[in-house]
Amino acid sequence: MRYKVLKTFRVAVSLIFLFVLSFAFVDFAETLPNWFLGGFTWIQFIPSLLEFVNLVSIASIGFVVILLVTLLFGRVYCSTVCPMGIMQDVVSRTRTWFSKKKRRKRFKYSRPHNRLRYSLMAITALGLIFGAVIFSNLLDPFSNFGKIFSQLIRPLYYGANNILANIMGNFDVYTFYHVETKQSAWAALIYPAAILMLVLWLSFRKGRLYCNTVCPVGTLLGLVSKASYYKVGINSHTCTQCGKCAAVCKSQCIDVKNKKVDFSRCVGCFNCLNSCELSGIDYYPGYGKKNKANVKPNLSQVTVDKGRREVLTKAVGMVIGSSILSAKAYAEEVIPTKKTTIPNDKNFPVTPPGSLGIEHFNDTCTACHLCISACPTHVIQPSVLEYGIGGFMQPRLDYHASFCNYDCIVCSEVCPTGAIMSLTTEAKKTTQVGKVIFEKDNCVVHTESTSCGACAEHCPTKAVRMVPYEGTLTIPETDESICVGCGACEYACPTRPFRAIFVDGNGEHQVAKLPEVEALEDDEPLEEFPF
Amino acid sequence: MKRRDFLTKTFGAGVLASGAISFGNFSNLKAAGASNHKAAYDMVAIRGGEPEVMFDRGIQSLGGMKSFVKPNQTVIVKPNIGWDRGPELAANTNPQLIGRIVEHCVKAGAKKVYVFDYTCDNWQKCYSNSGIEKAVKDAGGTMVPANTENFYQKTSQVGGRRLKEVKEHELILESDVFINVPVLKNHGGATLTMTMKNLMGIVWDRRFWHKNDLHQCIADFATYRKPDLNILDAYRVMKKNGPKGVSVEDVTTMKAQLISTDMVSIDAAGAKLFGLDPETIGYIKLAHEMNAGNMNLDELNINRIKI
Repeated sequence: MRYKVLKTFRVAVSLIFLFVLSFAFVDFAETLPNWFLGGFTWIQFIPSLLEFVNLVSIASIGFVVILLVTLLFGRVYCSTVCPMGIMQDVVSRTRTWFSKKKRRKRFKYSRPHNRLRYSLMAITALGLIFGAVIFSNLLDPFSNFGKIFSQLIRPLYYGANNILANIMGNFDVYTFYHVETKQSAWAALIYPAAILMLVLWLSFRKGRLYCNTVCPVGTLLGLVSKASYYKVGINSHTCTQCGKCAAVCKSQCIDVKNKKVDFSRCVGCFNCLNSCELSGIDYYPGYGKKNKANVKPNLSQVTVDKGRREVLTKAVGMVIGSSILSAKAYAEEVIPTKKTTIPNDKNFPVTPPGSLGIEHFNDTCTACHLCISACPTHVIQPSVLEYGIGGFMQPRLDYHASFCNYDCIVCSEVCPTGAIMSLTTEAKKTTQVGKVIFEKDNCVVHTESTSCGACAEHCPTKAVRMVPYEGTLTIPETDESICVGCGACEYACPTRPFRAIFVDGNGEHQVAKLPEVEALEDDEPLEEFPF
Repeated sequence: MKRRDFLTKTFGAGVLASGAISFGNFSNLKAAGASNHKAAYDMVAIRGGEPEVMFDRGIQSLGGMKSFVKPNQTVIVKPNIGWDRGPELAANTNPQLIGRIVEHCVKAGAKKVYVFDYTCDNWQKCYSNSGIEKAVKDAGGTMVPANTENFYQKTSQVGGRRLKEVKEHELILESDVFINVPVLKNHGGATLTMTMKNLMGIVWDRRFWHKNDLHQCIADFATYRKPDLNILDAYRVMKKNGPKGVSVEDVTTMKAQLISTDMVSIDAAGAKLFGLDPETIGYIKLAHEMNAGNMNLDELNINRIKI
């Protein structure tokens, strides 16, 4: 068992990555500092590649590191750094809970699905070259892990937190507090749910089949690993073809019959090395050319019992069902008064501050949803088709859910792809992501002749201010030159179904002027006590 | 009945009852009533000191906090913490004042002093950047969140002209004493925000107010929910761009404070301090009409303290 330390190391690193990244996608309290989290997202292959291309910065060479490591040791990335891969290992491991057979009899060799895996990789690569990020968006393992955790697991985490907050509240402890996802688009759950089911099913049945068939990063690193210095291979002199190694191989890439290892599919988990007492399978420099022998494989078929399938289906159903329920829970309150008549005619959705505009954002964002999870006000929500097919699932600012905090730059700090570029707080305050539009004919001051001012109240720059109207009434007046498009006015506006004030996204972000600061005229009463 | 049966049944009933008490909503049984204090003055007005000093002097002339808070009572102190702004911008109630009020409550023997506001900006940022969270903790009070609907319970007792029912923060319904501590400032929609307007921070569905005649709803609610004590902070006063403000240029240092059990009186006096005629502020007139309090300052016994 010379390789025990390798496996222990792999498991330790992978658990740290899995824990930190899954927590990052469900946490609402900004528990992890963003620089720390950045250490874990920096090295994610496609996000890092995209950030490198976008920022042309030496700081974003995580993907180069991965390529070099792969050239040396093979696809260890897939078993240590990639949260999607590690999640599959965990799922695959749970299979033993349902199986009467022993763990070491789990897998057997299977052929690669070369046509499928190379086409998916080629499509993703061509997409990246020609600026269509949609294929990375749909296939990147980190982004899909993010979508699953942000859209499906986060509502469960919030729910558990809220139950805890309720219980503690009964004991007069208010350290825990309620939190809501404010997510209202059901359709945004469909894709993460589909990917989750696919991944769970494949990993439960076939180990790492997803990584070796669907995942473009896995396939690319597989190609690179063909040239790796260190490789796993079978020693034809000592191998007795007992099949123990193949039975623990999640990638199902050990062909005992022909004494060959398809190293392009090996994810570097090192389970096989420890399964062999005779050093029949080994990991050292320059392995590759192997002797062929023709001995019948000594493998037993693994059968699937029905209970296992059922448990899996139910578990997935519960996760998705509860997410849908929580999505529904955020329904807007109905205000029983006269309905407004003029629809809010918006040209563009609003992209997060720092994303420069729709073009840059759509071309760079892989919809990992880390910004959605990190946003303290939950104004960042997944789109469905608001950006069109090419921007499927990319985040947008939803001013019916919340509004963007004037001083906050969290999304620009966590974005791993450079889709939301980093901003200083000062720069944020003049970043205009959209412009305010006032629709007087929807406004209660005009339609009901009563006071309101909810919009102006929330405006951080006074781009919306109340000016004298009829009698003592005041009505909003807007100045789009100092508007940052934070959406506070749209969020606060009480009219339904259409708001009297809303923000239309800027296709390209602009720079707002800073509000002018005027000194006070002294109009205090002269008396000390004017009553 | 056999002894064993009796024991099992009484035990079961006890468990059920205690379960119901811990999880059920019995708070309405213990509604926090309006105060019956016969104070020496209808209102105390103080000028010229630091917020804590003015409060010490003011509350002393009303017989000290012990006339409002009895030993072992639970107290709510409700400042305005609506905005993610620092104390110098005067968008929120002065933190030193809140700290001192909590201290007085603790000294008077309060079992628990809760402080909250249903903020407009992100509540954690408001609580911490306003300086109020720290002041309250240092003084021995408890900050409570209020930005999610689970804290709010429906009451259909409002009986106003426009406002019939609201969802009110459960701690208001459960606590013995309610102390309302807003800051005096300009407000784009309601002209001024003071004690009556500050109560919008204890209800969930305030969009309804904005939609259904803001002034009338403020007055309606003032006839239903009357705090036991109101303290209007006018140490720093935002004169324009309210209620959130843009810069320190919006703020003047007035060094004033008003204390009264009557929200209508205190708001009328606050308007005058600000330099406005109370008659021009819709909700003050409406609340006076509806007998929520007295806006005729000439009819009041006011203690004026100059520091």
